[in-house]
Amino acid sequence: MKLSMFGAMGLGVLLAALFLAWEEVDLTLHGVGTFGDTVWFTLFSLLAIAIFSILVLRSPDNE
Amino acid sequence: MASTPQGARKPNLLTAIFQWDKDWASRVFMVTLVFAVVWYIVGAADAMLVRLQESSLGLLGEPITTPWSYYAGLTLHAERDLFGFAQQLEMGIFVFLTIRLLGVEPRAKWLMWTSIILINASIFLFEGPVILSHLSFIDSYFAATGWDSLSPLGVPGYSGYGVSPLWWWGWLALEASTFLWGAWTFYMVAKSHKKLNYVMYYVLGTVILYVMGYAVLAVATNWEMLAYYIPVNINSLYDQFIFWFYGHSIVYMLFLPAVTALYFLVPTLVNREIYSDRLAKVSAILYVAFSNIVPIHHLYNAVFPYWVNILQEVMTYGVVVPSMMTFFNLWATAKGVKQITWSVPAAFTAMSFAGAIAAGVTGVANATVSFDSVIHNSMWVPAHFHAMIMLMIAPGAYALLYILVPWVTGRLWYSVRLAWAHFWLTLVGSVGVVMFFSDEGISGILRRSMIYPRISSIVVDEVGATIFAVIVGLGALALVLNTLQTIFRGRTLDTSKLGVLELVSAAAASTVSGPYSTPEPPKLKVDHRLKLRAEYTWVAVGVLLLALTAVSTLPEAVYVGGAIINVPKAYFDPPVENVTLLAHQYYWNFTVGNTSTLDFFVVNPGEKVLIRGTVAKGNGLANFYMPLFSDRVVDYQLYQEYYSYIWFTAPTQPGVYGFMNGEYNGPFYTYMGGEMLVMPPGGVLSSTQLESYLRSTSSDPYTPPVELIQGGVSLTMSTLGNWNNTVPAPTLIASEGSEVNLSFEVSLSALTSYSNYVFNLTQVNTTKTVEAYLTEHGGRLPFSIELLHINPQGETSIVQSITPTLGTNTLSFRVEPGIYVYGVIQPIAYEFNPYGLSNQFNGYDQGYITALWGAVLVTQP
Ligand SMILES: [Cu+2]
Repeated sequence: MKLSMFGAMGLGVLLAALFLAWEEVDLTLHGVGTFGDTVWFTLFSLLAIAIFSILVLRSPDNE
Repeated sequence: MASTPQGARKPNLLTAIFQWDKDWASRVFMVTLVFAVVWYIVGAADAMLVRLQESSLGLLGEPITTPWSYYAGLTLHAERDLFGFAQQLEMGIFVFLTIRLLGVEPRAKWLMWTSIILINASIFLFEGPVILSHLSFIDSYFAATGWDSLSPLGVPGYSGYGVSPLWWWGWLALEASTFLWGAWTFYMVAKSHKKLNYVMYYVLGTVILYVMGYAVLAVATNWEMLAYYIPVNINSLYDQFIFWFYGHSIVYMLFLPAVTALYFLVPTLVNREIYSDRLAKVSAILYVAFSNIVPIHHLYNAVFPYWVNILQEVMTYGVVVPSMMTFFNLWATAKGVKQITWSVPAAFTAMSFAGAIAAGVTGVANATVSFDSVIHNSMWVPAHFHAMIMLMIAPGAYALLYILVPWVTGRLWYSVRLAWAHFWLTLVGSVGVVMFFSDEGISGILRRSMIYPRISSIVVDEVGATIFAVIVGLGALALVLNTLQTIFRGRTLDTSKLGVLELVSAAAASTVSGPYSTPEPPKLKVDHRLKLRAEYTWVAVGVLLLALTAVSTLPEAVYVGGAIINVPKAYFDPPVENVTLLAHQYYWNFTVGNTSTLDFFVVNPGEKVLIRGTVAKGNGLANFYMPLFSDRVVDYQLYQEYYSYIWFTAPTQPGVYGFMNGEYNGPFYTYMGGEMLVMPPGGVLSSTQLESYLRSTSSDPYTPPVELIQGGVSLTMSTLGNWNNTVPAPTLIASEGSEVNLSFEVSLSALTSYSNYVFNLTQVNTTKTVEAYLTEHGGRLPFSIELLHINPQGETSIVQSITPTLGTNTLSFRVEPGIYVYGVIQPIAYEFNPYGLSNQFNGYDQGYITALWGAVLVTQP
């Protein structure tokens, strides 16, 4: 299957979400002391990226 | 539009490189491009010096260059690449776009030429005086400064590290260059009668941002410059506050051109209109309105009351709104376009979009008070802005360059292979650099730190970042080679008859080996309101989630920062250990009750500690950084003439906990380590306590490594002037009642290394100087090695003191309950003065260094 411009940009969004998740996991592995400081931001951001993607996917094509 | 007719006389080298036979806008573009590339290469070499120093220190424990060359490299890398390269290139591209998109005849050309001369002059001035007779010593050293963000660093009287005034003249030249460019752009827009399209909205918005940002910066520059020439008082907190109006918006000055490139390229490459023209324009206005008013999100750990911090956090979230609109708009623009031929500009466009999401989200993390309190001043921050630059801004600029070079030169890309090599090397290399930087920061490693703990995972990060930086450099080399070949050997393209879409397609097609097809134009027409509704829904949801983030992080955020109002109430109810801290260049002074100690302070397990800290006049600034990952990352900025209130609960586990100066105050900044000594009850660790101490400290990077003494232990002075290559020296474990020998090995080669501060080694023949000193002083070195005992009540006394010689020096003692501090405890006076050239005009550095000491913990026999 050939990747469209839209698909490539979507792949980028997915990788950005994975990067964010990796940072949170990496931080938590260093010690519990930082968990409360960072976890809320990460959770809401991942949620935002998910809703962003769903809304773009459900919006009309650019015709 | 002029172009080289086929078969015309071959232009000479300079005419070809600067495209001097073309129209004025093309010439400006090419001149800035050539100078930008030169600065890029020099700035990349600076970065490589930094990377190689880190790699060598990690792998071999040996430096390849001096601390001052390292910091000069770091500072000049930023200046050459940000201003000489990025800003200059932006100026050129925007001049070209302004003339082309407005369709006006260029006027006031001298304004632009003066601006270009000034920006290049500023890069030379930043470097400080170049003293030709002693090039190798002076050339880079006196540029080893930071920016005004580190005010009052470099100002005589305020800082032991003094910068040449040419530094401020450099900033003034850069500011003047920006104002002239801004004036020229406004003049051209005023002369044009065309309605501005959304791309011109971004061009104009960015230029307005530049002029506003540099106007504020001019205030900070002139304040420091006045303090240099005449005695005007500097308030470093206010000066930094002013700087960050500029410091934050510079991110947007660089980010918006890349956004402009995406707004131009995404629709053109997929052959569609932008999804929503109106929201594109609205977000341009919001970017300009919001991005100049959020300086304090860089100063959360300064001394502002918590509500100011939180207000700035929420205002910073405001800047996220235009980005939410923009990236929805861009992604949705490509929606429904099934086939596209992958060209290099298209690939860089997609990469830039993805990078914007990744780096944008971490930007919001950075602006969130509670998140910032964990990673502020760590390598995580360089990871974030390198992600923005290497994954978003640079790819956006490259995408545009792949279109503009053929457009301007009338030549198609010479090599498809080199173009794709550039893309893949840039992608892989940039992701690698960002990931390794990020992991380093998350491990708690300070930014700008030359010396870092040699823990294997950190060494892997440092070396990994170096390898991937080389990959990025190879990619850039492919671009430069391809551009040169294109200018001389590329197939010619008659640009005069082509519209924008044809030009973009022709340029893109020349980076594809197979056939290139432009996507079909749209067939249907979708109701515009449907598109807007989707985008508005997203913005509403996004704002709601930002509000939820602000609310859910509030319980942590109210305690961040050094203002007294931010300290939890419990820290004013006894029992609290009250400590006073005065940070000097380059050592710490603590006072608990009547006891005053250097570099360490003693507390009891589990007690509340409140440190009232400030900076001595003559030390630019400091930061108390103690990353206790199992409890809390303690990180407070310290200012002259202000008190920062640092609160934390001492670990219940007795032992040694390291801290660092978290802020650059001169080239020996990473030598400024310290220790919190948590006294075991009765002064002796039980064997279970020892075991759990060893487990608990493994995650805190600045807690020194532990060595068990069995009879004796050997400590060797490294070429950097510390014991066993760690700052502070290793924590030794000795059992109560035993007889121990500490052997200090001092070699001539360590003392004569240029990175060692013990002798003021700034002469040519260092070995001769040291030998002459030793002959004169009966072989005795110019410092004492001492043993200090702290009894279980926290009282200190010197129990032994020797004046060492070359070779082995031994301290022998019987271990009593308490904690010992060993090594060179008194600070060593240091003054950098090569050939007697240090002075206020050339720059200077002086201070007292303490990096040759460590602690001994006592355990049950
Ligand atoms: Cu900022």
